[in-house]
Amino acid sequence: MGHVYKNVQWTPFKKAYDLGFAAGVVAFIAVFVAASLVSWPAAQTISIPQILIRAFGACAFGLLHVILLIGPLARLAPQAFLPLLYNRRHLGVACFVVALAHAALATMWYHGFSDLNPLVSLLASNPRYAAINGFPFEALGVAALLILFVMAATSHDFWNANLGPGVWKALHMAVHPAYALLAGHVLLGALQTEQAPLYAGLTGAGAALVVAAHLAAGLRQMRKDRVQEPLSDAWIRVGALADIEDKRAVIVTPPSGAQIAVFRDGETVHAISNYCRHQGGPLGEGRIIDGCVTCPWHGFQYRPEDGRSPPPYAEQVPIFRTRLEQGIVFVHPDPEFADARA
Amino acid sequence: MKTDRFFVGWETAPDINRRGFALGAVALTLGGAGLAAALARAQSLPQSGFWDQGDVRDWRGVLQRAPYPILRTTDIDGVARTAFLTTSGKTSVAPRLPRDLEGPVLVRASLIRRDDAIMLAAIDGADWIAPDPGGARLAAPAEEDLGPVFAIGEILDAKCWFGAMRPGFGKTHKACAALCARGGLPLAFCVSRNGVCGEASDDPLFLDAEGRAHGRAIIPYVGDPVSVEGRLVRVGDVTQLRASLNAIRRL
Ligand code: HEM
Ligand code: FES
Repeated sequence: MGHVYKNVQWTPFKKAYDLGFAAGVVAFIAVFVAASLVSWPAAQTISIPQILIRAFGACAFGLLHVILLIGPLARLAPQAFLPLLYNRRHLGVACFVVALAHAALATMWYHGFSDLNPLVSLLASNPRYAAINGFPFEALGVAALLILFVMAATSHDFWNANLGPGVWKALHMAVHPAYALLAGHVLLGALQTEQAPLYAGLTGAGAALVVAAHLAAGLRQMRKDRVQEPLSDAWIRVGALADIEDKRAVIVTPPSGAQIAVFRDGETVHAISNYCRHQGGPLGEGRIIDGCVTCPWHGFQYRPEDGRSPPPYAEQVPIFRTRLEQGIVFVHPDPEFADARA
Repeated sequence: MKTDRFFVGWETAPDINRRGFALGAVALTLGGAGLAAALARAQSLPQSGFWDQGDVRDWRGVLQRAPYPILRTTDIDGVARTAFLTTSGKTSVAPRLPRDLEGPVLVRASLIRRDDAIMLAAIDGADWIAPDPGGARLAAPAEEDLGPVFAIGEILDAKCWFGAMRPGFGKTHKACAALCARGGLPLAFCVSRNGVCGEASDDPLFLDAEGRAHGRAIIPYVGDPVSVEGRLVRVGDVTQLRASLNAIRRL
């Protein structure tokens, strides 16, 4: 059976986005190489492959920070950062490609030119995993690279549709362990040789920023996610219609935990699942455009009346019954349509 | 001005703050470039060694086989010097030495040099070395015992240390140094200065207590911070640190 997936099209915005970050990557690597070459007399410069290994490694690690920051920032300040989320996958693929260049060069340079297979040297020559000074930090890089590879390879919407948003999302959450592995790769590797405070300081500041942004976004989410208990007739009181912005929604958390987005469209209300079929984006933070609930992440659309995407698309999310009494909105927490795949 | 923006990525003209984005992109690119420059400049000092692999020449001198293949030569700068012989890779040239060759020889190789520390990387192929019947016979230098030493630092491969890879010490170079040690390349002991393997080029060659090359048992210690108790011995222009395996302690 073929799967229908929405092919997210190329648009001028997407092209500008990709061009923008490609320029950033090229600028970073070019400046790193140039500054390394001019910092010492010609006969004393760092070997060129070593400069490139470091430039690629630092660039990929920096990109990973950007990728990790976009998610929480888009929750904290959607107007400014949601557009960055749209093409985040391209950043992920770019990060993998730059990291691959780093890893390939490092393997060739440090593990090549001998009669031992470079991969054997890379993976088996130093088994001292209990040590700190002697720890084979390269192995952590290998593990992280594998994770980045799997994520880059499954980044296309084809995989998204075939694996389902739950599996896909779980797979792509592996970016967090990958980040932890790389922090170890840097801590037990380059930071043991590079004594300049800038190296340790920057690594620490980067980690602090990533953790702080995730904590702040998580805290805000927790406050939003407070469970609303149903009344004695099983309905949940959402609030006054007048308090919901037109074409927007409020998000309700029933005791089951599966959130509901209650939309206002003029003087009517509709309730649909808060989880986008694409990557689980928060539909309740979206907006009704042309009569369709539009996901804030990548713009998938659903008709509020039946939860279906307008033809030719075939996505569908559960909907919920609503009631409007004297200007007060109520929603029933039992889904009207049970998602076949969920 | 519209403030309640809603971005829909697939729209031809999505509702975004264009100026904001252009400024953000420029700021990120400049910031990234600034960071790259700062990181590049903060890299620890590389060494002064060099190796121009393309500059292959003929070197005359006297062949010596122990503790490593060596060419005693005056071709570098007129003084009698010890030039360690190696291949172009991380392998010893010893298996490629013709069995009965001795005395004056002619070697085709490129120079790896860090001040007075010298190595010659032989070209590939069998004709890298030939007898040189007319060559001068340099006398082998005498050994001079300089007494016991205790040193803190790092055991590393002399080839990278002399300039084949810059920098060629420390944690990031450990795996490479271990490969060179496995390949049978000369090892050196880099004395730690302020916790880092420093810039000096007079660091001693690292040998076992009898002045022979350490075998593969040394590999796990290469590239780690260690202390060593041994003896310093001078042989001509080369200082040797002689210590047995059990005189090495990891720090
Ligand atoms: C097969 C996988 C990998 C191997 C063998 C490897 C190897 C290395 C080596 C040998 C170094 C030290 C380089 C030097 O100082 O000369 C290094 C540093 C580094 N690596 Fe990796 N690496 C791998 C994967 C990765 C990945 C996936 C990333 C990030 C996305 C990464 C990020 C870094 C960073 C940030 C540094 C420090 C660079 C600097 O000194 O400026 N590595 N790696
Ligand atoms: S998560 Fe991608 S469009 Fe909703």
